[in-house]
Amino acid sequence: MSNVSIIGAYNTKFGALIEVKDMISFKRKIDTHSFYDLIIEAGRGAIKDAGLEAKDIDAVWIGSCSPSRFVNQEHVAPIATAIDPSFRFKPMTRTECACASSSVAIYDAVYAIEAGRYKNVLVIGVEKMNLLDTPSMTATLATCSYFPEEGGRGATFPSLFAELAKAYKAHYKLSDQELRTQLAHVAALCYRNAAANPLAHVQNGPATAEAILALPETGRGSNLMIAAPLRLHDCSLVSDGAAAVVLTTTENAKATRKKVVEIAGIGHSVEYFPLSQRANKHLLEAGKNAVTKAFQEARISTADIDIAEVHDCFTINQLLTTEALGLSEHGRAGYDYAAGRFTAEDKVSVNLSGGLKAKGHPVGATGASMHALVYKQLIGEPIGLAPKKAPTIGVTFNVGGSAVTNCVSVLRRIK
Amino acid sequence: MERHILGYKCRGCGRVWYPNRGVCQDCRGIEFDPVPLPQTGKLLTFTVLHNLAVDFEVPSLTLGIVELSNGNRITGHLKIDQPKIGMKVTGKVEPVRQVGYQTFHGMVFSTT
Ligand SMILES: [Zn+2]
Repeated sequence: MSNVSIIGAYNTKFGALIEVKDMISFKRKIDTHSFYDLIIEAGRGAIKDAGLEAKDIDAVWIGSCSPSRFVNQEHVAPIATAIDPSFRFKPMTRTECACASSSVAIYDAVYAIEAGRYKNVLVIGVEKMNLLDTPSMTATLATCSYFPEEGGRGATFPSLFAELAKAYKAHYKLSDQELRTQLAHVAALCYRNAAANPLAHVQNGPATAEAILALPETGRGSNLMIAAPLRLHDCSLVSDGAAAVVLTTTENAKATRKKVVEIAGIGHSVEYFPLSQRANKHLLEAGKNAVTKAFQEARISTADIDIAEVHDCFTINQLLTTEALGLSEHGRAGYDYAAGRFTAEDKVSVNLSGGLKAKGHPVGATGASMHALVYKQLIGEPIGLAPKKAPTIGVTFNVGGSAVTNCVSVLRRIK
Repeated sequence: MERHILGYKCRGCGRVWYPNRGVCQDCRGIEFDPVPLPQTGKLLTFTVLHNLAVDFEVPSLTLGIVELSNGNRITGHLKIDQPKIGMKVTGKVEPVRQVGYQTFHGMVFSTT
């Protein structure tokens, strides 16, 4: 059990936060919520939500994936000095672990509080992706793969997760149509959940698997093949946004706050980097390892989970993470989603936020956003859909790269 | 069309900030009105660069920090043969870097 709790959280609107102006020969993108604006909004919002003043914060961590390529900015942590005049001279650090950049920022902050170095820490996750054109954005994300063998040879993230999808299909002897239908059910659940989340990037996505399966193969509004078997509606979004949490010692949280959510356990497990080195691609071995560590530390089992936010960067990964958490038997998650499981009405709800598929996936912000939104659910102030029964235990499952970095947190309401 | 670099005037206390700080470092206000920065000022310091980054197709470049007449400080290019610290300068907004379709504008100071 860590001795650290979350006492405040904030999530900005996720979306393509730009205006596009048609010039004669090209489109000019105008930045309406800059990388800098997003960091400041999320940081201030979380401090206020925690009932603290900025001067009470001892240190800042910022998780961000590739700001040097997205917005020409490296050395990101000092941007936080603009959050408040009292922030000048505070220690600030940026972390990077691809799409898990801000989960590892939270873990570093947990270690610092556990070590007794700091009492109150602000952790921010942020990404501004939409200023780049699509090929440049794809190339930027590909640097999060093992470049000598993958990104450098033209592999993109859809192609890497397509390998996992093909391995899953072969191992469980699914037909093309069976897998396609299962994945469409996953996407539809995320779209339906996001429709209730005012911060979500997409709030009017196709609400049923049937609607997704009925989309044309090509042309406008189609469900284009991106990297077989993954289609457009299997891929998460290219989003801008930020999220933040304030962490403190559980002792301090209990003494000063009406509602307290502890970080009951964390599991951080890293897989071999190149996908080619993994013998079993039909399941997340490192992900399962992270789940085991987090559950052991929190002394819980799968049966104790009320809600989960899982990393559906591609719909196949929602099946894999759902199985790694033990919520479905191996090879059964697709059948479970197709049978209507894991909605707000179910015993366990998955991706009430809409997930990466529909809430959006500003890569460096995603881990912090998962923690922020699960925290809000657990204190009874949900943003968007709430589960039928008030939740006590929530899990976040954030991955970086092709499920290379795996970060699993167990959050538990204790007051 | 004449371009301006904008300062951000705090609605709480009236102080003009450059660059945009998001939060007023005097009164913690978060609402600002954009105002054009004054174009005249005093050269505080300068450096001549001979080894330039990609996208700058010139043999050398002179960068200076100027204190504008309202007290804001800004970094800009100098189009001045022999700059002297303390001299009066006037700025104009001009393209300073071109990357593909993207044009970056900045202050370019001269003595006129
Ligand atoms: Zn002010």
